[in-house]
Amino acid sequence: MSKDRTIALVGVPNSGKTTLFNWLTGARFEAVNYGGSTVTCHRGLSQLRWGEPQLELLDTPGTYSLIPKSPEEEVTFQVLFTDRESVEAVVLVLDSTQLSRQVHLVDQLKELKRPIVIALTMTDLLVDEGLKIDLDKMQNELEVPVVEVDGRLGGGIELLLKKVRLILGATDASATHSFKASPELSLTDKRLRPEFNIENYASSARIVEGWLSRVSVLSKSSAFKRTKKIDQIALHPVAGSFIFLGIMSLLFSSVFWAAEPLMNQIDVFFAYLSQATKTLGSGLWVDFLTDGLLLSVSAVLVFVPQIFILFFGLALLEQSGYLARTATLVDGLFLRLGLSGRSFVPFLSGFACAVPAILSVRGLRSVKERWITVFVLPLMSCSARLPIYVLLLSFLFLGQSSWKPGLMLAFIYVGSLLLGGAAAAFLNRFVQLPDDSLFALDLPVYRKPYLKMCGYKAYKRTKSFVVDAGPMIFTFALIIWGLSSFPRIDSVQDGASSAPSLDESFLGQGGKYLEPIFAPMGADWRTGVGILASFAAREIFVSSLAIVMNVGETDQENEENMRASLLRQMLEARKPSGEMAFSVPSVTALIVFFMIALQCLSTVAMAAKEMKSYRFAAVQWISLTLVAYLAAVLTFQVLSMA
Amino acid sequence: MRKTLSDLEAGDHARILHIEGKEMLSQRLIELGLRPGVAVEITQKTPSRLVCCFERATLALRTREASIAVVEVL
Repeated sequence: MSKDRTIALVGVPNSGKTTLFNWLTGARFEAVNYGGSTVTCHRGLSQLRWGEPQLELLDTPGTYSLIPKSPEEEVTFQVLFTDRESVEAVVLVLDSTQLSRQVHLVDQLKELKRPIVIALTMTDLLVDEGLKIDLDKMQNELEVPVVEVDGRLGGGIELLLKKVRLILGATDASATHSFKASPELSLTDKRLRPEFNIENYASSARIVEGWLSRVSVLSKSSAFKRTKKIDQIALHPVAGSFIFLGIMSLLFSSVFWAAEPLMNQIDVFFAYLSQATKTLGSGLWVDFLTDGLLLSVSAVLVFVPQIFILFFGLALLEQSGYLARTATLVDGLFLRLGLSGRSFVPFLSGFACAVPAILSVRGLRSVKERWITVFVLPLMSCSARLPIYVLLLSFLFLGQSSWKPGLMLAFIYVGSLLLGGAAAAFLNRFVQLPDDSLFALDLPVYRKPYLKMCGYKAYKRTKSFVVDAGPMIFTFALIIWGLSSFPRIDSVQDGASSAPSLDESFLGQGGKYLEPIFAPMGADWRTGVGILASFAAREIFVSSLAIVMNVGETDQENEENMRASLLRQMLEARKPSGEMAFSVPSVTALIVFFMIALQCLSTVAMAAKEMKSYRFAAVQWISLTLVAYLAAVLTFQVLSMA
Repeated sequence: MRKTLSDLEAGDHARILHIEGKEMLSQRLIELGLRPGVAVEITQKTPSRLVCCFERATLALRTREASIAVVEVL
């Protein structure tokens, strides 16, 4: 059977391209990585119709022109102008309400010398204004077939596929391959880049005007007039800021409170599985299954609800048109930190997890801005820190009313923002990198979000978190398990081996060896082991501390019991000198350490990948960890004096 | 007197005459729709940014970016 023929979807951001892609593929697609970067394209097959050949569809990142100006646009350019994908035809998605601004893409695409079909979206918004596009006239003047599609209901999809097959049929599969491009082109290579032709732009409004005709004198409601009115308030420096804060609080409280029961369910489920496995017997394999394998899988899956909810919320905001406004609102503030409003979304995502947040910096144009954003992102209080803060704060405020730790938690979150801001401002002064940031942001019309599409998007992001970060978290959880369960102790009676006490394990020995390092911040070797273990992933801290503190096995089955028992053990723990191992100064120092230290291997790996530099990742890891250590030592020493 | 988009206040109407400045930036503004000849309305202005509307589009720009668009006030 011959290879499926490849069609690329091209269009401006917010043109409805991805929605159309979902309709075309039945929402079944996979991410394709490009050239070592984290920028992705999506690939899917057209929904199967009996008797018709399937088409392979590529959803390219949105682009304003084929002269790329950001890493994301560069991918679209690479897909079209190099032969790595052997794209045979292009579906150009044009927003019918923005034709005068988008029609220049037709001329640029024609330079590819491949067949084009135009998919015209959002015609319903024009109808609301009493306007209609003369498709025949448009087709004739552009010499490209035009199909009207309905992003919400999926109308026009059949016709679009039919036209695509028609133009493909007219061109022989082998003939289109005669187009030869060099395999790798870059931004700097101007050989095959379409020429920027001002004439194309200057005449576009007049041409488009000729395709429009008024079909009705009464306009029901104009989405554009409505948008203008809403923006008067939403972008207002004062009122807009309050709305912004309100919406953000709503988003965050739902990330934490709505995800909580689901996360608990996942915990309970894994505790049950682990319990069931333990009935199989004892020994290395059961240890491996329960404390190694199941624990590491659950360490990945427990974050799925938060990530899904955050990205669902972000997709809602994006589809409604509000997300672009948030970038506009914070731009003034971010500018002073060497950033732009565009880095707002990465920072926002950083509060759930830095890994998907780093993925979203690829839309940033300026090298310097990307550098600072990725560097500072791990300071945002990600959800993996939450269980640690909860444990340490409940220790600090043991037996006191619950609003106190709550308030402290809020302080920690605000503190992480301030720290991030300070770090960004610092880096902005000293980092010498080209800063060609530009802030000209297209604000789409406000529209009712399409829930199904938001669901797909959140699903896609969650899946990429599990697939990208999962193996990393998983592997290191297994390594920690290995270090804590070897060397094995051979039992004399039945010859079976059992796990050593943590004291005697490799991890415990290492912890004691390194104790002098942790002593200045008030931590004894047990906390040291917890800190060391949590360098793979922060969430390991609480569970490894529980193991080190000898929290009874039976108590571990119940989350609440485990915590209560751990707190009691922490209170009773003494250093060899007889001092309390956990005191107000040492626990506060620990909180400060966790706020700053980059204890997440997935983040380090992702940063190295996104910045294409191991040096960057190393510098980031060492400097954040060093600053964290110094700050923790300072905190402990100052508080101990008081 | 030569005026740029950044000199305008909220409520002002103007026509873009030409875009100056570095190639990348001026190209991007044109690609975003600020072509010579386009009539824009400033809907909002703060010291750091402005929002303008034209042809059913809304564009947020920093004052710095807006200052390369030379306009005639309408």
